Amino acid sequence: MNRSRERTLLASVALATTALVTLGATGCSSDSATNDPAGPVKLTIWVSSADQQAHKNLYEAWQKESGNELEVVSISSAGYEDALMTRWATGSRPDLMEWHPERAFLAGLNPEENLQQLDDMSFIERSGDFYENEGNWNDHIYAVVLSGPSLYGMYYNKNVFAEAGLEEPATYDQLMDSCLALQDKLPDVTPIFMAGGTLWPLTVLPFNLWGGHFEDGEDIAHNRAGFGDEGGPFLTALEKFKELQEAGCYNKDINTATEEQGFDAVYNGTAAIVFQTSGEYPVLEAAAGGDGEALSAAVGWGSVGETESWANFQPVPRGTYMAPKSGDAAKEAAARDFIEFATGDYYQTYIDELKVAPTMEGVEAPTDISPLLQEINDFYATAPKEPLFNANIAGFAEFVQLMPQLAAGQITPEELAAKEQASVEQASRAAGVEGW
Amino acid sequence: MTESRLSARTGAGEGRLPSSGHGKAWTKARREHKLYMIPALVVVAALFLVPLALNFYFAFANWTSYSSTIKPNGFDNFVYLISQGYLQKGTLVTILFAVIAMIGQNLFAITFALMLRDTNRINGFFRSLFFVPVLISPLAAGYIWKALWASQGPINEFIGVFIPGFDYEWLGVGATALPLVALTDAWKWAGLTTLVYIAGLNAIPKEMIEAATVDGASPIQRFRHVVIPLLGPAITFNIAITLVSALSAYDVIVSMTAGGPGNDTQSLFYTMRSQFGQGFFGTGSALSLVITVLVILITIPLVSYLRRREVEL
Repeated sequence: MNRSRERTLLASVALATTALVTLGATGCSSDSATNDPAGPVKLTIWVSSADQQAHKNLYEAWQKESGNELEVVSISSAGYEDALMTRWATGSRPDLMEWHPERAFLAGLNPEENLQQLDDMSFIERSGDFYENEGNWNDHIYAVVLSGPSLYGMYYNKNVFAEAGLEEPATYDQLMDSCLALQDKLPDVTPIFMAGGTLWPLTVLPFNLWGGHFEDGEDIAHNRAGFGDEGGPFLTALEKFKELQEAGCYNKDINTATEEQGFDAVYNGTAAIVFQTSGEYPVLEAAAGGDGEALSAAVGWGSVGETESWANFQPVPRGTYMAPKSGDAAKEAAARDFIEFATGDYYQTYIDELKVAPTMEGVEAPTDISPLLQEINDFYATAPKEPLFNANIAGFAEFVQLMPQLAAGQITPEELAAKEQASVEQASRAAGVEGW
Repeated sequence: MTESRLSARTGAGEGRLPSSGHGKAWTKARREHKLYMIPALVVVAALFLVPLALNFYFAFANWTSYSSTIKPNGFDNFVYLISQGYLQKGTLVTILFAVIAMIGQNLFAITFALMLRDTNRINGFFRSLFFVPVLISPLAAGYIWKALWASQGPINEFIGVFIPGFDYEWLGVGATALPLVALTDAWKWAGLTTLVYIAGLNAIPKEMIEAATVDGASPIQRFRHVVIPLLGPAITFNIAITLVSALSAYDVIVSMTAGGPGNDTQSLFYTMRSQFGQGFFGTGSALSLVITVLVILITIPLVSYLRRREVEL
């Protein structure tokens, strides 16, 4: 081989190697699109596939108003948290994303390192004390919550209860009595429909029973109490979940039934109660063919506490936005501009379209809503209310994986409590939560 | 094994440069060959060695989404996974799933291959038909079969024609859910395996079958003593591929049972993703390492055994 051929060969090898390395590096880069500092900015936003038209209209409107581009990456709402966190683990970061604003979930993003602080933005002072608990990590704000909270309660079929001559239950004892009475009077009706095939709906009944126990959750969050404490609210609720199961109150396909089947059943009257969240109302309305009036005639709303009915609320991730740091000043500013836009003059349009309660002052609540939605809003306004029991417990998400095992009879309430304790301990220690 | 057979297998001796009188040229050529290897080595390092090494490191580190600090933590991740029962249950489910899927897929495939061995229009149609599930997304395949096995689904309705009131939760009971999910995975990929078996069957010299027939061998004897031994390489390939893919099955499980009932179909891969989803990246990496080790421990001895059997046969 002569010298010139050798040089050509070396150059080819170097070029191929460089190309491969560059290709690899590109593959490892952030999700954020590249951006010309002088021109319009292109942002990436991760959203749930369950986003409604009102959310999509917001994205369109901001693009039109700002001249910037928003690349919307839709992630399946079934397992949204898992899918998003898996992407997060790879180091991939969007410029904006929908996520839960409670500390329990916020901790999982390591906000001080990864998220833009929104402390100086104008929406905070128009939101009263809302951000004392939500979107707040170590007294800094990292999230904007556009939609009113979702309540953890129950939808019940009014006709079934009327036919059986029963009132809807508000306490655990009344729930058990209703179940036994329904089994006696209407044996073809499932007293309580549980959708274990969708996993998380199994958690809604325990969340109902934890109403009024937010402070107990705080104790667990800071290691002043444990999940397995005898007589504690966590274990007691799980024991009651099993009592109802042993009394035959649930559907026999509890392990495979889905959320949609539960809504169909309660609307059609083949089930009396389904424990669910108000945030899933659109799915319930779909079961009624989108007819809010017909739905409201058949279905009512309530919640079941240990001794009284509570409005246990949780902000929903849909319409809750966070702005991860990208290191690109123009893009970070554009992400904040999106938040300013969404909480500014456009906010009334968003609320009108989505038909939910606003979280900020100076905006009219929607009036043309179904009677059932109005009933839910009235319940939130009048019932004693608290954030969910687990709002500040880092690592609580394991509970969603454990409840199906409890329902399938694979673990006892005590074993569930021990596993939940281990998960929370691991997360809380890593997050440096006080008390761990 | 003779030297000539070894040479034929390894290609040794082909393209060998003369070793005497051309020492300088030989050294240059060797240097040139090494340079050509660099891009391939970079690819292997970037796509295989570095991820494997990182996975190994993270499996023994306290990596979570809750903190930006990553430090080695010994066996803590494995202790956590064992205390939660994830490692034991995940390993059992994964092995059972893989064995059922591997056996099912190869039985389906070899049956189809024997039926569709000859190349003609009708067989061509059926080969294409059986290949259709390969083209369907695993999630879609899972949802289709989930609907079929539902308690109010068509399979129960059909059985109900013969047994009035028949109602069984096929996917709600662990004893039936795991085999059904594994067999769905087998059904999904059987078309691909069938093609490999058809190619293997068509490579068997017809004279050997005819000779066995003349010797009075029955169809079962011909299949057992002539076809199966000569199908050895195809069997080795298919068993290895089906086993490796089944050991990392995920999509079909998610869509059919979401890991249920309870955790009866939660494979290691399913649990790994769940751990990542909760921000526990270290424990997720530990499960990933377990899957890798499991694949190595199961497939390498198995493939070695099957290769030896090919030679013996």
